Amino acid sequence: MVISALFRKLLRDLVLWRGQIIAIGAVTACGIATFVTMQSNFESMNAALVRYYRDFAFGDIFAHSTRAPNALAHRIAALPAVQNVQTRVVEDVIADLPGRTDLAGIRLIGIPNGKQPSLNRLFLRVGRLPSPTSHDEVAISEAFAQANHLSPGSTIRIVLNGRRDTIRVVGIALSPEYVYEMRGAADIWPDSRHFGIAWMNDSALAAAFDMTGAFNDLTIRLAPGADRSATRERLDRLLAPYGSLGAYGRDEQISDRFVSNELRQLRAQAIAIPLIFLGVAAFLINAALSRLVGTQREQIAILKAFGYGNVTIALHYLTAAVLTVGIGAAAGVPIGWWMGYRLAVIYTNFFRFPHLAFHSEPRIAVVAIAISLLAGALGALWAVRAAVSLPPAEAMRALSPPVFRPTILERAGLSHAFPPMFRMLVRTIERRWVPSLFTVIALSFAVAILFVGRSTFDSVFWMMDVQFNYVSREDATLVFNRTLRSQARLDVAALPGVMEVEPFRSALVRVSNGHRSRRLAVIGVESNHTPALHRIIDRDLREIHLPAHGVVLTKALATILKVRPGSDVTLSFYEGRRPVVRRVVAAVADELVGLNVYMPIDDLQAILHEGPSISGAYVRIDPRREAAFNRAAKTTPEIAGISYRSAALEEFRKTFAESIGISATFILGFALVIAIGVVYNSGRVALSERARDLSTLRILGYSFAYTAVMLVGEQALLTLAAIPIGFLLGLTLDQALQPLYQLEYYRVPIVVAASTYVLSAGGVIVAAAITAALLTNQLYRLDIVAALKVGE
Amino acid sequence: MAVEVFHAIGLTKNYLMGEVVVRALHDVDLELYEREFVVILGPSGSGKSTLLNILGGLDVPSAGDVVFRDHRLTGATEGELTRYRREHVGFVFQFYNLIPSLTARENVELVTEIAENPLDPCTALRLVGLENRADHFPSQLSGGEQQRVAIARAIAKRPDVLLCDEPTGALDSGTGRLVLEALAEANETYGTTTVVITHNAAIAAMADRVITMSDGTVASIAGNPQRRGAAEILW
Repeated sequence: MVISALFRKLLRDLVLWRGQIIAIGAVTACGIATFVTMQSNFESMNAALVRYYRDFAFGDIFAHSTRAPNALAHRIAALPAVQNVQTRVVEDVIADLPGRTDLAGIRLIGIPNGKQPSLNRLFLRVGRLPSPTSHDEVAISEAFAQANHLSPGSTIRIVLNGRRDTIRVVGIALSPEYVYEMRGAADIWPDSRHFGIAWMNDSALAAAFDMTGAFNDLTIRLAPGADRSATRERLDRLLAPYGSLGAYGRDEQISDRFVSNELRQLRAQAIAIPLIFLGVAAFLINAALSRLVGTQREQIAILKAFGYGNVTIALHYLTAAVLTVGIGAAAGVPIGWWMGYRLAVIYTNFFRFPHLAFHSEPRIAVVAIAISLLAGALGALWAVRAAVSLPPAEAMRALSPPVFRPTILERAGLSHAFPPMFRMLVRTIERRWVPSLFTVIALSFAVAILFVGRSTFDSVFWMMDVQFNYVSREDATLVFNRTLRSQARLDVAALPGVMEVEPFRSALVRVSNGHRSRRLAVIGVESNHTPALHRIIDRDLREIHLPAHGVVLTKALATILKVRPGSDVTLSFYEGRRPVVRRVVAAVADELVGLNVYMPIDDLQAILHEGPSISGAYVRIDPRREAAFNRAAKTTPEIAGISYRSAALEEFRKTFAESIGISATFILGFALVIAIGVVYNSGRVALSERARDLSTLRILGYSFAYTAVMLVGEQALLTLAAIPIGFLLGLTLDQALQPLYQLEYYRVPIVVAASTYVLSAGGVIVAAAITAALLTNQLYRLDIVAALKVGE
Repeated sequence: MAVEVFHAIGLTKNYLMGEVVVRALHDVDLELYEREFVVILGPSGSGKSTLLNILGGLDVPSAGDVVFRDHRLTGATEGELTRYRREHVGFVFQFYNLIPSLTARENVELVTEIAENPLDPCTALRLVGLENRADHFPSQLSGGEQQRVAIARAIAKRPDVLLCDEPTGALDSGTGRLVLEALAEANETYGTTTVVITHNAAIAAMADRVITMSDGTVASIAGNPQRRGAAEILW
């Protein structure tokens, strides 16, 4: 292959400019790596989800009732558009795990004896399904098995409808219903140590709960293209006499909602984050290439004098840009694969698929490289335009001395307040204000990326702080297996170690405002006393006192329903005679987690036409008597579920903090790459522009140190200027990126800790210091006489 | 009767240098002929380089007209000027202007790759006596050698005109003489119309005609009946 002389020049120029090429390439690599990571994970997970739902027959509509006769299943199957119906018994029980003092909850789900259900089929990881005649065999969910070190052969003691019983694990399984294994909407994240699923023969489960010949849960598969809401309403009518708790679609199925939210987030991040990196890379290309064109004025003129056309010259510099980002992108793709794989491993902690194989389509790499080349070409446009528009004769003439004017300082009469060196610096920056401004912008991006990366975690930690230190101050939440008389609070208070009790009554409702609605639990709490454990707070973390009438909505719910204090909402209850009432929104609570409606407990009891009754309680437990409390709770048949605040916190620290730690490291690394890339680039440009002047100063007798300060000082001034702008930019990016982090259940506020300001400024200052050291070294090696010979 | 190559009338050029308007050329009339060797003399700022740039299609006059054979250079588009330079003109500059990242041979190839009927790069380098230095980078060559590479590069395309701006300005007399010999050789061998601008009045002895410029105008044009060889020039 014959390589043209012009191309050889290009390659040698690139070698000469390797420092900047590497800096730009590294920034590009970060952007491309993020894109490949996010996009590949999005596609892998999306494909895994679609395949999982299809191959394991995930249902379309779900419903729960108190007790419905099996015969009803035939009438449901006859509804239009219904393809398949799977009925079953589902019950939550308390479990006593081997070697543990605290209690776990298990959801027992019935399957046709010894067989796979027709919908929500199980993937067996290990072992087998319960044998057709067994009464105590179960397959348990993988997350629960792993968190509690359970395997086929393990036994678990449970409280079955008040009786103590033992179940035996024969298999480890996964279900499309529990990709994200949460107990319910009240939980914040999966706590697999304390909650899991066990599938057992339906007849055995029905027998234990007096449900023989009946079911309390069903799943429906619809014909493609069926009208979901119409079917849902028909199903609701059929189930209403049997204590239906309201049918709902996939969009309100907790697991699917979380997975879908995560996918949406991934897809949005796959666009937003690389955009920032590639934008910075394009900017760096522009700065470096403009400089290259500047130093090659004569060479460009010569090429033109020899008759090289504009297109050839434009392509020459465009190729330089494209090669630079191309090298970065080529490095970014495998880094993206590696990071993507790491992220996929993290995902397997939260999302359980039969096979979540990380796979990156070659198409993604091709798209990534194409995007980066586009960014490079865009970045090169300006410089290329400058090269092309350079008139050949103009380029041959010596540059006329740059025009300097008195700076703002001098015009303000302040010149004598500053030493000559400082005036030189300010004049240089002011004269070259466009490139200086661009450098400041790029540096402020580096500050902003660090800032955004850190403040995301600030927000999450703040959410946790609010949730656990201001809202959920109870040590444990007890949920009863049925509604109990109010006197039950005394029984709870009598449990060993219980120091405080705050009872509540929760009831399933569909809360709506016009066509906007959500199915959730309304929580009735005592309005006449100040809650000490579970509190309702406003945006200033002050307690909200429940009014005698009216409801308090969490902010996230108020936003979904588009209601404000003073608006009315409709509550359609699924319990009792299924009353429908309207209540005024008295206040909006600033809770960050969960879609909740609070109302006075006596109002709730009145609506449901029942006497004083409670369905659970928040308790404070003497830490020294926790074991005794747990022992007593195990033997209390009315307690169907218990969740511990400390366990939720521990789970947060262990899994979330770990994954947050990994992504924080990536973000920190990436931001430092940008910071070093930008600072090095602008310093290198400054060095080549100033080489002649600085050499002149040296020849005039100035010390090396003096010239080094001249060079580094400009970078220092620009870096300092960039820091406050970076903070502002970071806050703006936080605002812009905020919607990406919003799950329906969470409302992530923008919170910035003081340490974030320090860290984001400090990171860039460190990067600048490293660069200053590199530049000083280059300045030291500069041949001052040679530098003088080279015409600008 | 010699064939006219260039015909210029009323050439004027003003340009901005920083914040100052410089009148570089003022109402210059000029003809140049085939095969002739012309030396343009004049002090700094007399407009020599501007005139050369306009003749070479590197610059356009503010006023006036210039014609190369049947090409009218004034009013030509950038594309036409590019083609004109590619097909007809060779340049030699005072500071050689080699591409530092390319070897001597590659610098010559830069031109031969886009010319229609070029010399072999080695032949061009042999003409200037540098066939043994072909793989050296500019930084490994002396000033005189660099300028000879520049001449090889200029003549490698077999141009119709060779325009040289102070080709010996940065060289000592011995090296300068070698460079002038190379130029004379090219002029003899290929019949290339050669224009050399210089401060150095001694070089005028080599010329067929000597044009003297001052303050942007042509002060005089004198024929030289007794051309001397480069070797005979006293520096």
